[in-house]
Amino acid sequence: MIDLSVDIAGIHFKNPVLAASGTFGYGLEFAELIDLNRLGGFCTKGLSIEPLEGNPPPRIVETHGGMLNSIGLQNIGVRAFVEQKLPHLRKYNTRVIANVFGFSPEEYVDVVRVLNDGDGVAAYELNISCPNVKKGGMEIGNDPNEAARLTEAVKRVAHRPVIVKLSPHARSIAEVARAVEAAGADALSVMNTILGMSVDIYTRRPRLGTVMGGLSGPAIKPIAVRMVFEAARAVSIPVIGIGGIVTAQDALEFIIAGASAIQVGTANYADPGVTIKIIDGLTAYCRQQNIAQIRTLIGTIRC
Amino acid sequence: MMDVTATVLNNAREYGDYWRLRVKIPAHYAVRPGQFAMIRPSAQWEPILRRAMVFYRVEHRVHALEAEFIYRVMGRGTRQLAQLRSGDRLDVLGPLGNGFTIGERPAVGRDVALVSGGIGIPALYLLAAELCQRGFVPRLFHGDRTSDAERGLICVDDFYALLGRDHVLCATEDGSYGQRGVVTDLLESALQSGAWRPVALYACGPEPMMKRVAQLALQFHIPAELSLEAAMACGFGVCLACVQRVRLDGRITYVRVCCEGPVFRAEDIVWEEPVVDRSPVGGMRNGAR
Repeated sequence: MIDLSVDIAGIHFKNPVLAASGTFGYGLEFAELIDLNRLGGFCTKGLSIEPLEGNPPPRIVETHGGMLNSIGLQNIGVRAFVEQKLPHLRKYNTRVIANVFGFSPEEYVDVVRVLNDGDGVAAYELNISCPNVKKGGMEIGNDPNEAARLTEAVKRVAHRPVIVKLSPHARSIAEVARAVEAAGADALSVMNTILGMSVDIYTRRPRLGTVMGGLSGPAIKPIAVRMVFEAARAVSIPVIGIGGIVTAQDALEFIIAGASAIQVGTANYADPGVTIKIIDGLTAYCRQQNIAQIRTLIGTIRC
Repeated sequence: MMDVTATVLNNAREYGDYWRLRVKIPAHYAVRPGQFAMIRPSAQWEPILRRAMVFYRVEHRVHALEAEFIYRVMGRGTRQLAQLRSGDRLDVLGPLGNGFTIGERPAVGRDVALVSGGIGIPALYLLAAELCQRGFVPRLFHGDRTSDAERGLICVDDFYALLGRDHVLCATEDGSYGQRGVVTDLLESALQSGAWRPVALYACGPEPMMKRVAQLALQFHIPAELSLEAAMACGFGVCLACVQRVRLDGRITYVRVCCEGPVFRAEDIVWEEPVVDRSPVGGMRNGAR
C-alpha cells in the first residue's frame, strides 16, 4: 500500500493533490463529476468580505499552452460561503482551504474573522497575488514588507493555519517567502498567474475586457517549478506548488523540486476528473519507483 | 451532466469551413433543445480548452446516444477536431446549459419564428422538431454570408425535410442563395406583412443579428428567447468567464452563460457596446474557435 499522505502546517492530507483557487468553484460544482472524498483537498474561489461582481467580459483568452484570465474575483462573499456552501461541504472527507481576499489588510482580517466561525475549514490561503484587481492582491504580494505586515495581522486573529499565496512578480520570491515566514506564515503557495496580454488584430482591441490578465496553464510550468525550488530553499515551512500541472509527471516535478503538495488549476476546466487521474498517477509512479511514502520524495532534487 | 469518452462515427466537411461530426456517447441522458457539450479529442491538452458545441441532433440507441454536432473550423481547436477520424476518441461533457423553453400552446395561434445566422443554425434543430411534435408551426429564417454552389446552406436541407420548403426562408449577403441581404430584413418584412403573427420567437446567431431580433421581438410584442455565446473555459459553472449582463429581480447583474444560459429571454439581456470586427470570418467566433 503506497502512502500518499502529507502533513502541512499540522494538517494531515490524504494525498498531496489539491485543486487551486478559482478553478474549483466552491467544490460542490464538482460533486456530480468526481468523488470529492478522494481529493487531498481544494481551495475555494477567493472570498471577500462583500460579494464581488467581477470584471467586464471578455474574461478569458486562450493562448498557446494555456490561457489568460481576468475574472476579477467574482464571488458570493464570505458570509454566503459560510452559510450556504460550508454546510454541504462538511459532508465530504476532504480538506477545505478557504482562499481569502481583501482590498486592504483590514478586509483580509475581517474575512478571516467570519471564517473562524465556519465549521469545516481546514486552513486559510491568503491571496496576495491576484493580478486582476487594482488594489490589494498583487501590490501587497510584490512587497516583502507589506506581505509580512498582512501575514502578521491575519495570524493574530486566525484560528487556523495560514498559507500565503505568492506572486511570481516579486523581485525575489525567496525574499518574500522569508518575510512571510518570519511574520508567522504556516505554509506558502507558489505561485499565482503571470500578468499577460493579448491583442485582437481585427478590432485592434485587447482581447480581455481589462486589457491585462493572468496567464496560466502548461506554458507557465517551468517558471513555477523554478519559483517553488527557490522558495523551498529559502524557507523551512512547507511550500505548495502551483502552475500548469496537468499530469502526475508534472506534479512530481514540483514535489521533487521542493513542494510538499501541489495544486491543479486550469486543467480542471478542460478535464474535471484530472485531479483523480493525477492521484492515480502518483500511486503508479511510487509503486514503480519503490517509494512507500510520497513524503520521502519531497525536495529530493539532486543538484 | 457527465463526462464520458465518446467514439467518432463520422466526421466530414459539409462545405467551406462547415463540418459535421457524428459521435457515439456511451451514456443515456435526455438532451433539451439548445443544450450543449464541451468537447475535446481525448486527453488532448493543446489547445488547453474544450470547445462548446450545441447538440444538433440526438438519437437514443440501446446502450448509447448518437449525437451530431455541426461546427465551423476557425482556429486551433476546431482544426484539431476536423482531424478526427471514425473510431477516434473524444471527451464529451454534457448535457450543459438551460436550453430553450416551450410554453403551452395558446388557444389562438400556432406559428413560431426561428431565426439563425451562420453557425447559429444547429442550435435550433432539436427545438424545431419538438415544436412540431407539440403542434406548433415553426418557420425558420436563416442567413449567412454566402452559400455553396452544390450544398446550398449548412443544415438547411435538414430543416426543409422537417418543416417543409415553404417554411424555410433564407438570405445570403452575396445573394447566392435565397434573398440578398440579412436575415433580419426577411424577418421584418414577414412580421410587417401582418398575415403571420408568431406566438414565440427563438434565435441563435452573431450579436448584430441578435440585437436586431431582440428589437423586432419587442416591437411586435413577441416573447423571444435568444441563445448566446461567450468565451467559456469550463462550461459547467466554475470558471466564471462566460458572464452576460442581464436584468434579474429588478437589478442588473452578471450571470453565467453556461449555467443560467445559454438561452435568455430577449428582454432580460443587457447588450454591451458594439465592437467593430473586421475579421475575415466575422460572425460567431466562439464555440468554433
